[in-house]
Amino acid sequence: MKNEYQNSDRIERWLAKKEEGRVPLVLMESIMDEIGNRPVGLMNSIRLKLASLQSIVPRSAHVFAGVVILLCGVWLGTLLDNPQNLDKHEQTLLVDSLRTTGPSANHYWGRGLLAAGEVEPSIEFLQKAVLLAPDVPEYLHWLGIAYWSSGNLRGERENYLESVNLQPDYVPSLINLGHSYLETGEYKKALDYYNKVLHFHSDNPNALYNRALTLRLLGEDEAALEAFHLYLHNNRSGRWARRAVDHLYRLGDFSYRSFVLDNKTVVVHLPTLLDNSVAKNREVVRLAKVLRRMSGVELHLVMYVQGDDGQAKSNVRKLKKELSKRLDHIHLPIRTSWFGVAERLDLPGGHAKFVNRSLLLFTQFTENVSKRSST
Amino acid sequence: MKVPDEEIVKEVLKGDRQMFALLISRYQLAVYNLMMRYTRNEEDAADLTQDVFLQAFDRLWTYSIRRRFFTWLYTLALNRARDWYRKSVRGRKKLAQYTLHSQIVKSTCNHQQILESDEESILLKKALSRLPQETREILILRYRHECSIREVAEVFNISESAAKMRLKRGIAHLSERLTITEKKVA
Repeated sequence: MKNEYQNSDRIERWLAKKEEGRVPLVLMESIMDEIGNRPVGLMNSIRLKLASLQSIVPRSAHVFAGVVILLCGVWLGTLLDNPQNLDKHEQTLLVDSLRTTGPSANHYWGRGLLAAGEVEPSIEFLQKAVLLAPDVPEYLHWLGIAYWSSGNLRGERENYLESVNLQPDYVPSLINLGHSYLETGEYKKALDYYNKVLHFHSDNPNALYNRALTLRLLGEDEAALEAFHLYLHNNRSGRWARRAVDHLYRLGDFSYRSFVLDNKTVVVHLPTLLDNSVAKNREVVRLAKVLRRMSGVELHLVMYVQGDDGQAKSNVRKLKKELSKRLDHIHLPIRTSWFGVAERLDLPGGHAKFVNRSLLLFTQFTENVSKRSST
Repeated sequence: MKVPDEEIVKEVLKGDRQMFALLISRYQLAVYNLMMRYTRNEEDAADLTQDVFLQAFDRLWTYSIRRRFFTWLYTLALNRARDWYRKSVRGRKKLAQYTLHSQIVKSTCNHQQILESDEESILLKKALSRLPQETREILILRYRHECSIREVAEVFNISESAAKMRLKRGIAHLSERLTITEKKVA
């Protein structure tokens, strides 16, 4: 009894300890950027909610498959759940008949059940599919996923491995093997699998990103830096690009920067954008492509060159000219500023980083837009 | 002197959006850690944390000063975490070409166990992570965030007596784990 009391006391004191951990560096900035572009108020909240519903763009094939599976599920469900429709014997016969159909039917039925959250039943059908067609990597792959969903690590890996034994370049299973080992902290094995994917598909973004992450987890910072650079070379949009930039920041590399322009996050490689190489053209074209979709804003370019405001001025005006050329007839006002000092980046913990040659990009609503919204 | 949350909310609703950053800085860690406990994934946790604060901003007009801002926010966060969890279990089975796993699982920044020298703490952490999600979160809300039983009941939408019972059971479970391990070591 005394021991229990003492334990309870210790536990309560332990639970009451302060929060640990660290939030990602860019989180607050990201939230405030989103908020900066949001109107406040009930009607606008409703409007935003409705607008978000339009952003779902499913692939037609998946929609079709989903509808078919859903209809089958509903039909079967009504039969099985409604005793007036079937007696016990008929119900058993119906389910049995599903069990005796071909591998493809069992496979898709299993996937449908998995999608509906029925993990254990899905395993039964997916196992059947594999039994009937043991040489189809896709069936093994999905059985592996079902095992993963049920928490069966061994079953998961065995099936992925069997899948790649049949087809060594079956990327989905190679990727999932990488993830499986990553989840359990077996980083070297995870790295092997990501490298295998890249051997077959050198630009697979999933493998590129996770390879970089795994290298970081292994403490191989130099290699991780290079790997994140490789990922970002061809992948500049979406949250993984933002994450990759965040990883680079944490590794002390600020060559890639992410800017929020008109509610879109844009990732830019500054050294390339600011130099005179052939690669610069590609960077400018990429940036212009994003800028073309903006409206009602003006773009601000702020150039920093330590000790040389003349060069800062010339660089930023040149960049403005290059961007304007690529924007064709799109009307996007571009404002420039320049400073003969290094850019100061304020980091968490009160530290500051100074970048001798740098560029800051941001957008602001144009006056015309502001006037319209106030009337 | 710290500006009360309710005052900050008033200012934000009047139009001073920058003040919202104060609320984020106060509570982002609590929300982020909650999301980490559900997702076990830094990136998903960051995304969900962002979702929660944006939702809080959008719904700020619904906040009533009868409640503490933190418990109102935490309720939003908990609901978001639960939604994510439900969908992630379904989402694993989507008809996707490639992986269904989330891409990032851990990072060196989150390997607190490596830095943790207190064995008991490691043990309790493990035991805590194995509790049912609701029980775990009730314990954390009560002890770590110092919420009253009434507030805990409100956030979890249960009665006060149910909240007390779950707290008691949670502590008992953790105590049992601690006792078992001490016996093993002895």
